[in-house]
This record gives sequence, structure tokens and C-alpha cells, in this order.
Amino acid sequence: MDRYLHAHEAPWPMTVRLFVLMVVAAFSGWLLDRGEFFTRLVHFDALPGLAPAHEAAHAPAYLTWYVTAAVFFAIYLAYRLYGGSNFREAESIKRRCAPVFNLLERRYYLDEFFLALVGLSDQAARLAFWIDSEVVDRFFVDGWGLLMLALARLCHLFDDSIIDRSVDATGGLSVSLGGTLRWIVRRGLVQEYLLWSAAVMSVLTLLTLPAQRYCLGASVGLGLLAILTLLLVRRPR
Amino acid sequence: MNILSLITFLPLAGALLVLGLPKESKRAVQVVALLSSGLTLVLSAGLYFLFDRHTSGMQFVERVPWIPSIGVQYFLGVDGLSYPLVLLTALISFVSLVASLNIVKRVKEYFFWFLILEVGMLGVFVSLDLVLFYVFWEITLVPMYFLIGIWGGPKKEYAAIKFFLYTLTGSVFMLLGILAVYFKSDPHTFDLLVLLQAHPDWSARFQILIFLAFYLGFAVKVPAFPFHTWLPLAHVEAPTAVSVVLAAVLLKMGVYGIMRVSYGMLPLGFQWFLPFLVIIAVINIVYGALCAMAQTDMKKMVAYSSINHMGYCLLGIAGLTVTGFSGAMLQMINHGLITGMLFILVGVIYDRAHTRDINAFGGLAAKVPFYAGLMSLACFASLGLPGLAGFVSELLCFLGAFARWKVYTAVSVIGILTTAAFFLRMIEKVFLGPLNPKWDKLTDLDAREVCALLPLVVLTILLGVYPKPALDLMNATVVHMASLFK
Amino acid sequence: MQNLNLLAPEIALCLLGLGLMLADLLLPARRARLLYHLAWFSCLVALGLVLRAPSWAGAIPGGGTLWVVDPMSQFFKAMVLLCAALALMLALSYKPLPDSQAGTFSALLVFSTAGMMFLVSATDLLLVFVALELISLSSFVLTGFERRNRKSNEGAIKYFLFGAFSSAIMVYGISLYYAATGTTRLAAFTLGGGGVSLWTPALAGAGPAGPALALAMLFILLGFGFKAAMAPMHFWVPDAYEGAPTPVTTFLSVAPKIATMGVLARVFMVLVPASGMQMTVLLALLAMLTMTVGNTIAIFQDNVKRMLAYSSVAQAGYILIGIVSGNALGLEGVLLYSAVYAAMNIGAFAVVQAVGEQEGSYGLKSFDGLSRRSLPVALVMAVFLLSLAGIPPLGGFIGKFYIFASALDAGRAAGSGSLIFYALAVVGVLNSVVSVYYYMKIAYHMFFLPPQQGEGGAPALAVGPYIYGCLAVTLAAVLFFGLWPESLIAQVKFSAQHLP
Repeated sequence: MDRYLHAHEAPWPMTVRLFVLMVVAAFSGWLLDRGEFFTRLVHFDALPGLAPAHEAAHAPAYLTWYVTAAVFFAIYLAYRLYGGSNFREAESIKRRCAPVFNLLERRYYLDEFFLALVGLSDQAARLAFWIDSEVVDRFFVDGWGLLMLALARLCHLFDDSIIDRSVDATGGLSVSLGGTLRWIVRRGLVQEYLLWSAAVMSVLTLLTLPAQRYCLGASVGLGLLAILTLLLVRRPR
Repeated sequence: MNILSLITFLPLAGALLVLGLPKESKRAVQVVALLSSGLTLVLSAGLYFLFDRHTSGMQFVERVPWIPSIGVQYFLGVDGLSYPLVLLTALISFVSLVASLNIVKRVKEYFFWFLILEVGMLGVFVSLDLVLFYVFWEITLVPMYFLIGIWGGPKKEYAAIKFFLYTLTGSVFMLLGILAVYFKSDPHTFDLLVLLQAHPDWSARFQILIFLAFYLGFAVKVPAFPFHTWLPLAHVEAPTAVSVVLAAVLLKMGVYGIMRVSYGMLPLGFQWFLPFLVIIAVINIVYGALCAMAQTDMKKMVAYSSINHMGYCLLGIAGLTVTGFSGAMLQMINHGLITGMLFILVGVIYDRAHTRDINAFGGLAAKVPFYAGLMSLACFASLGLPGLAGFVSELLCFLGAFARWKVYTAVSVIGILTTAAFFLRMIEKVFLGPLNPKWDKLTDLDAREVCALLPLVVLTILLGVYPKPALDLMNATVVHMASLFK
Repeated sequence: MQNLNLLAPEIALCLLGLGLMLADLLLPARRARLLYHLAWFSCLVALGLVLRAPSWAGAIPGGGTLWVVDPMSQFFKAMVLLCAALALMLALSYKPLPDSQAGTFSALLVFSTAGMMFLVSATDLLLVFVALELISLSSFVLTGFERRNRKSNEGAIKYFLFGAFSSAIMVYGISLYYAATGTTRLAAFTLGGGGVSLWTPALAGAGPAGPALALAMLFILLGFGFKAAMAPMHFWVPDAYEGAPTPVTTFLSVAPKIATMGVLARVFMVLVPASGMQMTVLLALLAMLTMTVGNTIAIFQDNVKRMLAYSSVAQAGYILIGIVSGNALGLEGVLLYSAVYAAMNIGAFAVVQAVGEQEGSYGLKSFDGLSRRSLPVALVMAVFLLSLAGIPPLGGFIGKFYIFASALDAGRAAGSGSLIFYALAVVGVLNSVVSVYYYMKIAYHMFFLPPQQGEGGAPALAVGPYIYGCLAVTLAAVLFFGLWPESLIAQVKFSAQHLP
């Protein structure tokens, strides 16, 4: 980078090009004006309805002279500051207007500003990515996934333990009923058979006789008592 | 023309022939079974060219008095709703028989019961007399009991009797409904076509009650929540080919019943039940998919996904639009093909590895690429990937239901997401990743399995890209059905 | 003399029965089996006389006091005679029956059948009672026929004691009836100028049934309930059926039950309608109780004869639904179901006898692997079991269909009191589902389990010619009535017409 801090002669291909450009630049204005060439080049007809209110504007003549004078003054100033063997005057100006010089040299600190901006946006990007991968992805997306998985397991558990068991339980109702009815006659004794027949018959009799329904309760109670006695008393074999 | 009787009873002839053969001649038994089923398939497919797509009335009708004293007729006919299902039944039965060629024990009984089952299934879809419908409905129960109970998995006896008793409980209420409808009609008749016109005379209370009676019978078959718990058990314990038939055809009997009988004959009851039907559909879809996601047994996963898919059918029906009905009907066909494929494929790996646990595998795609490809195809079709059959029907069901039930349809989309999740997870766990060295000796699909799968694969892709032939068959009937609802 | 001609079948049968007893004395012991053949031949002769009788064309009341011979009674007589013939077939191949007692056995069976024939024709309670006693006394001895078998003795004693008890109840009911109406006649037909007119207690202007009449009908119902194995009089059934020789069990499970159902139908549907007596709810409750008791206890049995005994209790409940309905469909249903029930039950017992005899025990284990030993027999048994459960397209389904149809029709016609009929129908169908479980238990043993001797070493089931014949007849009946029931239904409709 250091070799760009000191001025040095351009290589000769460069000098030749500069020379050509210099000649053209110096005389181009006069050349282009030969035969109204430039005027004709940039001439345009106004669109109908858009006729200019006044004549085409010309740059004021004095502007040309001022510019040329400024150019010659700048050449003179450059020669004064940098034409000699040392740059004492340039150096002193530089020392006295250091802040301005630095500002100009650093191109209004635009580079630093720009790099700082880049750094900032880098950090912002890092933060955004962290939010994305840690918070959004893990929490919201994977989390939903895990939630769904948990919900899935819950649904399956519900299905197996509650719904399926209910179905089996309704089947089990018949089995329980059968078991109870069978238990009633488990001893196989004819007298127990007859007792149960008589008990049910009595109930049916009382159901048939409307007037005697009030006896139903008492009779059923007595009957149940008899049955209970029979079942609980263990007769010696 | 007695073509429908021929189609329905040809497998019976095959079954009786099989019964007469000695049990040692397994090859002969298999040939006879395949021939009779294949002939049925050819005849049903032949009807495709004679089928009139522009009418919604019944075609190929046969009507003969059966029990004149009580007004029961032998009345057969198909229309746009039942004919695709007849085709599906014939195809799936034939495919399943091909897939059953590897059964080694008690071959004769197996094929006998299977052919009887086919008779029952075909009969359900072609009967137009309610008693005949009920007779065929019940005929399917007995062969299933024996098929699951003899050739099934570890809990086969329990699964078989539970299936039998559960389904029977539902259908006896259907019997009571049939009788009630018979006595309410004037003159008393079991003729479905006449009864479909008789409902304006029936009170709303009667229609609601009888709808519930019929619904109980159909709901167990569909299976609709909460009458669905027999399905995972029966599917897992049944042998491969029986699972295929169970999922592909028997479940459709329930939806067919709802569409044909309940919707047409008891519109006020249907209308009353409609909000509940949508809720049940959504529960089937979401809850079924969630339960599937919790499974590690592949077959049970596919079984629960069947519950999910039948939920789409119910949703389509609940939409009460032409689109919805078309979607429901097409979903029946597509689900039959896709789930048939899935069960055969799961059976393939079970035959080789004797396990269905997804955690036991890994990286199988390196060893059995053809199988992996087909399984992936089947999974993608099942989750509704556009280009394959499942997408068209699911789309139509959602479209049809959205106009009437916006929120419910929106919630049902979770079902699709969950389905995709568990199928892709299964593919990842089983096929992708490093090859589990335990399965170094696995062999790819053999000729029998490829033959069984090929028609299903071809149809899945065909109906996914060009569903028009299928939809054309149903269109006239669907338009007529949708117009019935005021 | 015309009246006695109408009783020709019964008279012929009784005479042939006496002839059997005589022949028993004359025939040498080694020819004793000929008596069985004579017996079933006599049944067929009587059947021929029944079918040939002129009373198919319409009811011709006979005797004017005790009996009526109409198509319904002829139908039941035909059924009962067929059952007796088939039971004798089974007896021919049943080894524990001693040949020396062949005459006694066949004579008793024939007399029992004759009693049933009288029973279904009866319109007077005295004849009903006498006929019931004839049936019962013969059945008691038949049940205890295997003298060395303790279970047979036990069954016979329990049957007898229970029978004595219910006879007492029945007689008490008859006496109450006499007190209420002044006669033991259930109906009287008078041949007047224009035709036949019918008198019944209901028509006699007795008004709403007084308590005596209601109680009388209840006790008579319970007396019948004993014979028909209805709850709460069914307790003797399992022990008697298990202990009796299998042909006797077969006979008891179908013939007395059908005959009693016939007379129940006549009494409670025609002559003294249940609806007129406000007994509908009571009968419905009894029907529900019978079905439930039969089906739920059968689940636990592992002796096949006992299981089928409870199943027959439940089947009586189904037939009772038809009687509760009280309409024309109900009566037809009773006839139809009786016919189909006879066929399928005899078929099932025939298989049970064949298996039990070969294995030496009637436990469920004897049926293990029957499908491997003899697939045709296993399939035939499966047909009978499915028919008993009411699965289409078999005869049992047609019977149940008819019965439930009658219940729903009655409910529709009843208006405000319809709930009991609908409840009855629902309980009936649910019981059918429960019954599938234990019927399929037998199928489970036959098809799912391997034979007890291992897959290879199991001998094929030996089925003798008599059992074969029985199975052929009953299987044909069950399949035929399931697939083409029209002929039977037409016959039943014709037979169910009655006076007035």
C-alpha cells in the first residue's frame, strides 16, 4: 500500500496517452465548434405544443472566462505548492489546516462509516440467525413437532385405554351378567332351583294382581331374606 | 342380461370347486381361485365399456321375486356410485389372491373363505333390495372371522372375535332399521329404489331415529370415531392379503351405505346429523393421523392412516356438493388402491424380517432399492402428493366441504400435515441413513409381489395424473345425488 | 266317528307304540335294533296320516270339547314327528343305549310324541294337562335311561322334581281358571246353522280379566314355561340335557319345546289373547329374561351339551317374542322359527353326538382341530352354529328376521304401548350378538386349535350312516330354508290361519 502514498512518474505508455488526451482536451472545444458541428449534434426540434417560451438558453459568456481563469489559477497554485524541490509551503498549509486536510484525505471518513455499517449489519444478521435457529425453529417449529408427537401419544393412549376399554367393558357386561346368574345355581341343588323359581313366580304373581301391588315390597323383601339365609348358611354335607 | 349375477356368484362357483379339490393339491386350488377371481375381474372391467355415463339411473338391472310373501326381491343393479366400487372389489380381490400365493398352511380353506368373502363384498355393492343388501353384508363377516383367526398374527383369535361381534352389533341395529322402514312404507316393501322416494311421508322424528339405527351399522364399518377401535387390532393381526381386502373394500361398505341408504332414504335424519357428521369427520382425520404418528409398528400406522383417510370421505359427504360427493367417491377408490399397496408392501418386509418395528430398520434403500422406491411412492400417494391419486380426491373433498364448513375444513388440514410427518418419518427411519448391518441379507421384491403391486401402482399414477375416467363414471350419479338435498 | 278319524294319526301312533312294547317281548335280543327302525317307521306312518288328513283345507273342530284339528296343529304335528324320527336315527348310532332296552326306549319316545300331538290340538285344559303329563313322564324315564351314568340319574331326578313342582302349579292354575269361568274349556266350537262359531272366555263377556283369571293364566303360563324351558322354570334344563343320552337330549331340546310353543301360541294368541289380559308386558319381560339368562350363562360352559342346553333356553326366548307380538306375523314367526330351529338344533346335536362318542367326552376339547380331522363335518357344524346365531343366508336368519319383524310391527300398531315391543326387539338383537360369541367358541375349537393328538396323528371322524342321514336332512333344510324360504313361508302363512 505504501507505494501509492508517494507520487511517481507514470510509465511511458501512460504518458503517451496522457499527451494525446491533453492535445484533444485543449483543442476539442475549438474543433467541435468548426462548421456548427456540435450545435447540429445536439440540436432538437421542440415537440408541437411544447414550443419554448423563449429562445434557447445560452450559457453566459462571462462564465467561460471565469472557468478558464480558474483553471490557469489552479495550474499556477499547483506549480507554487508542488513545483519546487521541497514542499515547504504545501507542508505548512497541511499542518495549519490539518483537520480539513484529514477530512479530505479520508474522503469524509466515508470508508470508516461504511465499514462500521457493515459490522453492524453483520451483528444484526448474527442475531437474526440466532433468533431463527434457536427461537423460531427450535421453539416454534420443533416445539410444535414435539407437541404434536406428545399429542399423538396422548391420543393413542386415549384410544387404547379409554375407548377400547369401554368397548371391551360393554362386552364384559354380558359376561358379568352371565357370571352372576351362573353363580346363583353353582351348587346345583334342586331345592335352590325351586326356590329361585318360586321367588320369581311370586314376583310375577304380585305383578299380575294390581290390587296387591303394595304387598310387593314386603314379599320381595321376605323372599330376598330367605334367599340370603339360604346362601349364607353353610349346611354340613 | 344376468351379468351382475354372474359377476357376483362366479367366486362362489370357484369356492365350491375349491372345496371339492383334495387339500394336498395346493397348486390346483390356487389356480382355480385365481381363475375365478380373474374372470370376475375381466367381466367387471368389461362392463366399463358398456356402462352408460350419462344416466344416473340403475343399469344392468336384474329383478326376480325371491320371497314374495314378505316382499323381498332378488334385485341387482349398478350406477355411478356402485360400479367403481364393484371394479375396485374385483381388482383388489384378484390382487390379494396373487399376494396370498405364499400361504403354506391350510391353503384350501384359505382360498375357500377368501372367495366366499369376495361374493359377499360384490353382493353388497350391487344389491338394491334392503334384505338382500343385509344378507350380503353379513356374509362378509364369517369368512373374515376365519381368515383372521386362522392365518393371523399373535392375537388373531381375539382380533377375529372382536371384529365379528363389534361389526355384528352395528349391523343388527341396521336390521331393525330395515324392518322399521319396511313397516313404515306403504305398501310394505324392501325395494331400495321405491323407498328412496318414500321419505316425504315420514316424520322427522322417525327419520332421525332410523338414521341413527342405520348409522350405527355403517359407522362401525367406516370406521367412524368412536367405533373405530376394532380396526387397528384387526388390521395388525390379519394376514397381509386379508388386511388389504379389509382396508380397501370392507371399509368402503360403510361409506357406500351412508351415501346410498342413509342419505337418499332419510334426508331429514341426515340433515339433523350433519353437524355431528362433520365433527366426527374432523376427529377421524386429525385424531386418526395423530394416533398413527404415535405408532412404531408399520402396519398399525397404516391402519390408523386408514381411519384418517375415511375421515376425508366423511368430510366430502358432509359438504353436500357435487365436488364433495365426487371427492368422497373418488377417495374411496383411491384409498383402496393406495392402502392396498401399503399393506402389501408392509407384508413384504414382514415376510422377510419378521418384524414391523420402524426402529429396527435403517438404510434399507441401499439393499432393496426397488422396494424402497415403491414404498415411498405409496407413502407419497397416501399423504396426498400432487401427481398421485390421493391428491385429487383429497382436494375434491376439501373443496367440496369448504363452502359449508370453513372452520372444520381448515382444522382438517392438520391431518394432512400429520400424515406427511409420520410417513416421511417412517421412510427416513426405515430406508434412509446407514444400512443396519442386521439386514444385510434382505432380498428385493420377487415376481409374485411385483405382480400384485403393479396394477395398483399403475392405477395410482394414472388416476393421479388423469382422474377423468374415474370421475366420468361417477359424475351423473353424483350430480343427481347432490341435487336431492334442498 | 268323523271325530275319531281326525285323530287317526295319534291313534295310529299310540297303537304302534303299544305294538313296539309287544314286539319287544317277542323279538330276540340280537334283533332288538329292529325296534328302533320300527319306531321311526311308525313316526313316518303317522306323519303320512297327518299330511293326508282332510283338515289341511280348513279347521275342522273335533270332539267339540277337547280338541281342534286345524292347519296349525297339523303343522306342529308334522314337525314333532320329524323330530322324533330323526332322534331315533340318532339313537341307532348311540352306543351307551343298551340294545335290550331298545323297545322301552322307542316306545317311550313314541308315546312322548303322541302326547305332543295331543298337546298341539288341545283346546281344553284337561287335555292339555294330560298331554303334558304324558310327555313329561316319558321324558323323565328317557332322561334317566343310562342307569349306570350318575349324571343321567341326576338329570332325571332334577327334571322329575321340577316337573312335579310345575305340574302342581299348572293344576292350581287350571283350578283357578275353573273358578273364574266355570269350565276347563279354553274354547268351544258350536256347529250352528250358518257355520262354526267360537266361544272363548274372552268372548264370554267376562270383561276385563278379574284377578282369578289373570292369576290362572299366569300359572298356566308358568306350567307351560317348564316344558318349554322358559325362565324362571328353566333350571332343570342344563342338568337334564347334560345327563341324558344324546339322542334324548336332541329330542327334548326340540320336540317338547316346539309343541309347547304351539299350544302357547294357541292359548295366548288365539283363545285368550295376552293383550286382552294385559299380560303383554309380563310375557315380554319373561321373554327378555329367558333370552338373557340363556345367552349369558352359555358363555361360561365348556361342556357342549350344557352349552347347547342354555342356547336352547335362549332360543325359546326368541320364539316367545313372536308370541308376545300377538299379531299374524308373530304367529307365523312362531311356526317358522320352530321349524327352522328343529332342523338346526338336531343337526348340531348330531355332530355333537358323533364327536362326543368318538372322543369319549362332550367337553369343548373334543372339538379341537375337527377341521383337520374332517373338514366337511366341521363346515356343516359351522353352518348349524351360524344358523343358530342368526347369520344370513341360513335358515336361522329367516326365523329371527320374521320374529323381529313381528315385534316391530306390533310396536308400530300399538301406539302408546309400543315401547315394550321396541325394547323387546332391541334386547333380542343384542342377545343374538352375545350368542355369536359362544357359538363361535365351538367354531374356534374346531378351526383354530390343532387336534388333541397333534396335527398328524388325529384320526378322521367316524360318521355312521344314521348320523350321516340326519346331517344330510337337517343341512339341506337349513340351507334350503335360508336361500329359498318362500315355500316354508307360504306353508306357514297357510297354517297360521285359524278360527275365527
